[in-house]
Amino acid sequence: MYKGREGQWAFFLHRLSGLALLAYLLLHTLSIGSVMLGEKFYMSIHEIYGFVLFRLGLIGVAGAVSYHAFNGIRIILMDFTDWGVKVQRQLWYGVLVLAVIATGVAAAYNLPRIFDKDPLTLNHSSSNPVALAKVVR
Amino acid sequence: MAIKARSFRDAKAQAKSNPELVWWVFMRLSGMALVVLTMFHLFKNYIIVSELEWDWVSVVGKYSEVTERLYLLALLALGLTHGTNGLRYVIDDATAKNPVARFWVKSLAYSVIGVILIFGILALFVNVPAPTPGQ
Repeated sequence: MYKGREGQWAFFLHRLSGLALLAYLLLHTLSIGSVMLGEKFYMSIHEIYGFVLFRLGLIGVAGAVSYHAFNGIRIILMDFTDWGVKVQRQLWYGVLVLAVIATGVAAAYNLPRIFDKDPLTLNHSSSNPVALAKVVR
Repeated sequence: MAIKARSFRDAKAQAKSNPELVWWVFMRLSGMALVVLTMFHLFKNYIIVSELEWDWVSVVGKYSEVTERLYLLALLALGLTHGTNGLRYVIDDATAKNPVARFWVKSLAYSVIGVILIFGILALFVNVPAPTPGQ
């Protein structure tokens, strides 16, 4: 059924991203859900996630979400339209383009934040009144 | 085994059981809902807001809104059900020749996921003490 290389890659990446997202969702539920165990407990986990590698990893989560979402729409189009299977290869390249764009948007917002810049103006956050207000609070 | 059809009619023909067809349909319906729910969730809580923003006080504040809790409940329940069924497809394929391993891997996976699901639901609906003023 998965004829051709693109279809196999699409299938493999869908499974891989799905498993990764399930793993992330389980960890995310545990860490955010620990809010009910009190401030100390929650913050000890929250501070670990402030480590730069975890913050960079969130761009990967955004990438997995966008690929899995767009490819999922491709699967639904193949299943429920009479033209979807015929253009599945083209659709997959569309999925890749959209996923790269969405991941790029996430990176464009997140990377400057990690390096302490305002995401919109790329100015240092200390000159950004919104960020400054948060520091003051 | 998972249905590997490319249309609803094929899926119906391939389904070995009625529940399997129901799961096939569920994956597509929940998938469409999850695309919208997850994208909005990511945009609202991650893209336009710093991930560091979500300290204990902020999360408790967010959970004080009933609509937020219901939104997160829908995300959690749909996401974990969709993800667990996806995992079931993967386990079925990986243990096609080993029914004993399949039984134990599934038992372990469903137990862990079930406990985390209950933990997540509790976290949404247990009342957390309000943040102390001046903190």
